[in-house]
Amino acid sequence: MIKKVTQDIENFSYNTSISAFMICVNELAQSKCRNRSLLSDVIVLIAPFAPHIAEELWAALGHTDSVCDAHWPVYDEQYLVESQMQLTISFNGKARFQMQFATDVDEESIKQAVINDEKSRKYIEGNAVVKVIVVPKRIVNVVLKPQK
Amino acid sequence: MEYNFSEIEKKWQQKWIADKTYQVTENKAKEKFYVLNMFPYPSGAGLHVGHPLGYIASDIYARYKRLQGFNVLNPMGYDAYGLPAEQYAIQTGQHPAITTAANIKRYREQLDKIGFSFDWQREVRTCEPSYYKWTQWAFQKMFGSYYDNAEGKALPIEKLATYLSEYGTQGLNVAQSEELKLSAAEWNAMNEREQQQVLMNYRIAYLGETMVNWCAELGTVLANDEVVDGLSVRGGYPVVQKKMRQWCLRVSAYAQRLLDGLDQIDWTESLKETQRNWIGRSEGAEVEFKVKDSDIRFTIFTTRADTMFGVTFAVLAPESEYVQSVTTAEQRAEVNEYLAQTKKRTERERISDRRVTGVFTGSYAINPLTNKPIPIWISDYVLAGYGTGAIMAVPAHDSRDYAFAKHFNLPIIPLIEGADISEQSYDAKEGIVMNSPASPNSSEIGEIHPEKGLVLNGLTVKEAIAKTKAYVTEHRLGRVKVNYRLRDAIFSRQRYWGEPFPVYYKDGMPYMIPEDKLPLELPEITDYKPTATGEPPLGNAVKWAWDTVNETVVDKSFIDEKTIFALELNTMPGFAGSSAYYLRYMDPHNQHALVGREADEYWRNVDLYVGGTEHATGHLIYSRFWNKFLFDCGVSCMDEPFHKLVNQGMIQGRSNFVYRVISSTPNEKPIFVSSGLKDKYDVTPIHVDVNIVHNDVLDIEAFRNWRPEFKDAEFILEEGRYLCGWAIEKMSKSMFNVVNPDTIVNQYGADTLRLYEMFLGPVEQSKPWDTNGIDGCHRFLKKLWALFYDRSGAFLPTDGERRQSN
Repeated sequence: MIKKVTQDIENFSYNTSISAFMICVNELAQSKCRNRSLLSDVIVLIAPFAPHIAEELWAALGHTDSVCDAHWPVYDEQYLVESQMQLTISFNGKARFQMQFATDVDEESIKQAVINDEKSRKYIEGNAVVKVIVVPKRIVNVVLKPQK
Repeated sequence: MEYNFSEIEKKWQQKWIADKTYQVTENKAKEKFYVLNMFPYPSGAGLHVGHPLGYIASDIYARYKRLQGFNVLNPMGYDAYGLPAEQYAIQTGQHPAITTAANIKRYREQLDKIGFSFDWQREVRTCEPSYYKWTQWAFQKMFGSYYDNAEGKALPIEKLATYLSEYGTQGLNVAQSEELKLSAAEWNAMNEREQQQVLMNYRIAYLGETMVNWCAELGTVLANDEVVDGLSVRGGYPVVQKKMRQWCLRVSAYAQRLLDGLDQIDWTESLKETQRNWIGRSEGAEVEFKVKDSDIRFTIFTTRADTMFGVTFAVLAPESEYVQSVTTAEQRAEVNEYLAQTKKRTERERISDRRVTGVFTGSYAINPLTNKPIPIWISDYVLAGYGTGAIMAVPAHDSRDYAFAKHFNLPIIPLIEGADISEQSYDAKEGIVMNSPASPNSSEIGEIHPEKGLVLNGLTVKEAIAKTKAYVTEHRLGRVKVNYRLRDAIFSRQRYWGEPFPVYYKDGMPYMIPEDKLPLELPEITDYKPTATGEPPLGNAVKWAWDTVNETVVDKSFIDEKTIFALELNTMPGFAGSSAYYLRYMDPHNQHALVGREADEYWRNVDLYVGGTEHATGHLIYSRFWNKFLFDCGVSCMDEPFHKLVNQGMIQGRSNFVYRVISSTPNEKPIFVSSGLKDKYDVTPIHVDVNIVHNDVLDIEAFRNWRPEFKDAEFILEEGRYLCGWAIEKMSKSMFNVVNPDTIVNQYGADTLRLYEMFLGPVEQSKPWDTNGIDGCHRFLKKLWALFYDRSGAFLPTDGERRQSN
């Protein structure tokens, strides 16, 4: 949420931040969240958009300074990093299937895994593998050349 | 406890003022961030919901940067000079200063309700003497400077005068109106007046004879974007092209720097491209063409020197100085008629309009490469100010020349192998050159000039361009030249409500009022129209002469041309006051400088600038030029004024219509048919005030009360309701689709308005306003409130452990 709003503001994509706020507030309402520190962060995020209500609720949370001078919450990448990633495997630029990898796996292991995978066999058959290009976190492209 | 927005908003707005929450000072311990909105012209209509869109977007950003620990400057002010206030003054006699102040008051009230984080103690108004003092000061600086091409910057004119007295124009590499040739001896022999005239050729602010869009009805010169189809946008009066002596700014001197600077700034590529096209750099060759059976020679400019073998005619701009001399007696009547016609069109129309018009002069020019005569035509697709005002036409490889050749049945010679020119010209600068020269047995084009053996056949276009340029230079047929489409800015307006020029006239030459006597204040007048003798409105001022002994403004009747002289009657254009306002915000109360060094070096330039795209080739060119000049003078420490620029989209109106049944009998009660049934009748659609329509259902009672003529209106309903039609149009009073932000604030609160304006879509996109969707945003704030307070008013948050991460 913090990351999304930060990035949205940097990109002037305010409409999507507002959608995120709406979802967030609905979730907090459902989970009956009462946590002062969490709600404080939410108020700071909303403050640039709706400064009056933010000031009022910020003061109600016990702060004596204006919400204008609060600190923008920092997001902890650690909580955001997913342990698995999904890569699209393509042959000569045509996407064929998806594969799961651990996020910390190195490039060479990805290449080997792709070439040796059962599903790759029918695409590679009769061809020579010229090279394997890995676009981190997105695509693996296997460049093939027909064997003479 | 209910979410009571009106109480909360009022309370915090007052507290922000009391606590000076948004006042900012230079704080070296913190990093600065400068957010700026293009400041508004305070019109009489006030703000509608479209105006705050950009302000809200930048306010969110400003608040966000502050929360990140930046010292944020977010100022606001008013671009207060302008034509509407003056026209209102002409109609009503009400002084523009009074209406402007009233409009500003109204704007401020509306802005205050929306909860912006503006630092109002930095407010500027361009019509305030304390502000326009610095506009006049900058103008005087420009008058006192010339542009040195070798050093690539503006320098004091005294330096040029010294150079002229030592070397004359020998070796001079400066920006100039025309190329002068003077020896040092000639310069030194001149009297003061003559020397002043020479210097005028180089000053950055100079008096020049220029073609202007003259509107006799409005009594003023209009900018290109104020004229459409030969009529003034305001009022629809005829506009003609006329030569006038005007103040001009030598913006063209900065063309290359304006172009290069675009690479350092974070603007959208489309906006940069618009500016690049406007600046219009082209590198080409100037080639001299001799007129057949005459001593007249004229110079053409071409970027396609490689196509000289395919020239089948030449075209002069209607304003070209050669038009009269090359027109033959038989063609004179036809030419004159054509000239009269084109006078009515502005340059911009001439560029954008693809209609083919033209007239033959009766004369021929000699192509210097082929020695063959080609007819000389006149057409307004050639502009006097671009290049030399004359072109060589190569219809095979230029679309405008092609259209012209097809229209007037002139020959077309292809010069690139394989290019298909049966339907259109081949404009790409690619391919292999042929027919250059053509084989000797070709009857269509001339043989190669015996002594001048240029052969381009077989080369690529690029190679051919380079070879021809070298050839042309070597054989003294012309020279290589960089050309820009960007013109100098005309800086005089025949209006009252603008900055007066701090200038008086002695012996017909302009002189500056001493810097320490600025500002020269706008005089009071009672009649805002031009004078009966056609002078600008300031001609009506009584106390409008300069006493050089006492250094003060005195009554005109004292003018003796010895010590008391007439003051300038023109005023400055709208862009004068908006060209350096961002610098003034940094240090708005400084009485000794436009901006103090310390403040300037702290705030540097604008980090985020938000405004409309309509300023792409006006304000955003002028202010970049103005800033670059001040940078050269050491006033501004940054070469580019606006680092990142975001263009907010427009908010369009959603209009509603009712359908009046056309009746043959007049004076009958008007009958309106509901939208779904309107096709069964003969109807006239009429705009209806969107404020009496809810979800497209007309409030019939409110409609009857809306206007007296609808008092007895009758309605043909569908399913018991009157449904209105709708359309997306510009938000404007005349469409009755204006939604006032005050109404929304009163009904839902400022926070809801802010959220909803942003929720409508991406900031940069244009989108229609539809009040119907606003409830969602309001409900969201109520839900947010309910996280904190239950219905009984109990405060819910506790210090329990934080369960949920982000």
